[in-house]
Amino acid sequence: MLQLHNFSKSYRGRAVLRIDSFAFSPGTSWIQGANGSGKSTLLRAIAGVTPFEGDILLAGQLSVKKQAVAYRRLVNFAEAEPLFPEFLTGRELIHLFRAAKNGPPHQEDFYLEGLHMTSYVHEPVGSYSSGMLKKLSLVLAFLGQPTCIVLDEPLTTLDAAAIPVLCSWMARQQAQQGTSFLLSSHQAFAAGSLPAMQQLLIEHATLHYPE
Amino acid sequence: MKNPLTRVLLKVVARGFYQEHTGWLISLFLVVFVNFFWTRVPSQNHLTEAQILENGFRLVLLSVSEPIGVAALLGVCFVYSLKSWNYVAGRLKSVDVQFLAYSSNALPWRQQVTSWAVVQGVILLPVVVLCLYAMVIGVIFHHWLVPLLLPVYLLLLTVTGAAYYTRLLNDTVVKPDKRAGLTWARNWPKPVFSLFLYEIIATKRVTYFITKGASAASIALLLLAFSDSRTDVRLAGMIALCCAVGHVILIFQASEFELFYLPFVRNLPYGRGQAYGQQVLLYGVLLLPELVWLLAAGGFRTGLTAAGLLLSVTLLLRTLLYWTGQHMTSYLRIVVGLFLFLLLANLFALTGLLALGSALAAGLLLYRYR
Repeated sequence: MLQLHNFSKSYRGRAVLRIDSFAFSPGTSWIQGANGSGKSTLLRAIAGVTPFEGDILLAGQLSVKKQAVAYRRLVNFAEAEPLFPEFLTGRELIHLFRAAKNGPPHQEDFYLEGLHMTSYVHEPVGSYSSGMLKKLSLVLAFLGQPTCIVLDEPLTTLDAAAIPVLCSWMARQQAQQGTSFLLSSHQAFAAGSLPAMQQLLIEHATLHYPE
Repeated sequence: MKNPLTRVLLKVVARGFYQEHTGWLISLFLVVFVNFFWTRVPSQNHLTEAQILENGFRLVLLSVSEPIGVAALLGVCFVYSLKSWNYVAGRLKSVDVQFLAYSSNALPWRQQVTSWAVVQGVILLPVVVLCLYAMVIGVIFHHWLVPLLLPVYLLLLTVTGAAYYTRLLNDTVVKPDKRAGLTWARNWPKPVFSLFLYEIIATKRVTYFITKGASAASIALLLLAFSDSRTDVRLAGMIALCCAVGHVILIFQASEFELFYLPFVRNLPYGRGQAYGQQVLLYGVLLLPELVWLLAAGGFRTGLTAAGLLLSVTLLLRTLLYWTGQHMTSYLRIVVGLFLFLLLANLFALTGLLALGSALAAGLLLYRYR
């Protein structure tokens, strides 16, 4: 699904990640690692949000650098701690993402109802709590027809009722559209809540399968 | 500086103020302060030493003796304070200083105000120096009233600022945040390029008006200084360059806004051409008053060249930040160097070429970043 080639990322000359070659299998990949190990950095690079050395390919042909537009249309992202301009409403952000990601009209309705967001989605995001912002960012990540959805700490700040809803969305998306998921989380998912999940570990500044 | 709150506030607020406003302060110093300290008057060989001194101190003496001069001096201090109040109020909303809202306000009110007064005093240092100078020269030339009142005025500005900041941190649970407002624009379209324009309306109005004031002042000063060559493309080019550099704080803030609030845009499927187009639209709207003035006042051909130079240099100043990152000091060094180079090249009537070159350089920097 996604392949990393000669991937490296440094901050102020200090290499924080170096992955010579790695291919993510289709399905759900759960990236684990200690705080500061580089999970978010890797996910942000895969989402095309942060610069890095090397290349990332989707389905062996779309490069995040060379075919950036096509790549970004198919790879969606939700940040660990999302921030949006405070004066924008949730609805405006949804319209922006749906248009950019080429999603069908009213695609968001299903998600908004699922997380009970219809009562406040028309309000400016400056009035949202961190949990409401998190829910909004998750809804945005499902818009369009993504091949891969990257979720950084998707469970953080979510209320207990929202977690099974998110898991059901992931299972549905995977079953209906074959979308793969790449996520990092310190919290474990409940057994059976998601289809088979591949666990990966970031340590010693690189990504590998746990032993 | 033993008070721990004062030390923290100086580090997170006062230092930040100077870092963010270095460019603004340098411009203020070059345009206002230098002439204020000593006004150069050519051909004074026939004058006595006392007359030369009086000429040199003309502006500063005006500021402590004539109503219009006094009003100008008090006005500069007030606008400076207003800018600092606006900055600090915005800074207190930043994520990294939220701890102040659940730590500093546990101190007695008087202690908080004292700490904030020290911080505000440090922030006001440039105008304090200006006023001290006016006081000393005023007293030497036997003007007593204004020099005696100036410290009271400065103290008032300092205490007002300190009380305002203290209230902001103590009233966090009393007043709802109105920043998210813009209710009147709720149904307006908000394409990606326009988001920083809305941010200006929501939170950066003072910076915007000061920038536009500086723009208007630089246009007026240059027209006054070169009144006999108003149709010269080099003068229009010079005005365009000054206006572009005058917007450097807003450009820096636009970049900060993009990094902080719009990282998600980099995940949206926009091509490089589209990204460049969005920047052109943003700065086209932001610079609209200056662009319209250049087109209207300079004649079609000259105006178009100067407007092109203004837009392309502003784009270049914006895209330079992709290369330097958000480091104000190093960014300003490059901006000053670039400004001097462009100013010099413009004197050889290369205005059109500079506009084209800047637009291409901006495109290249954006291309490499994306």
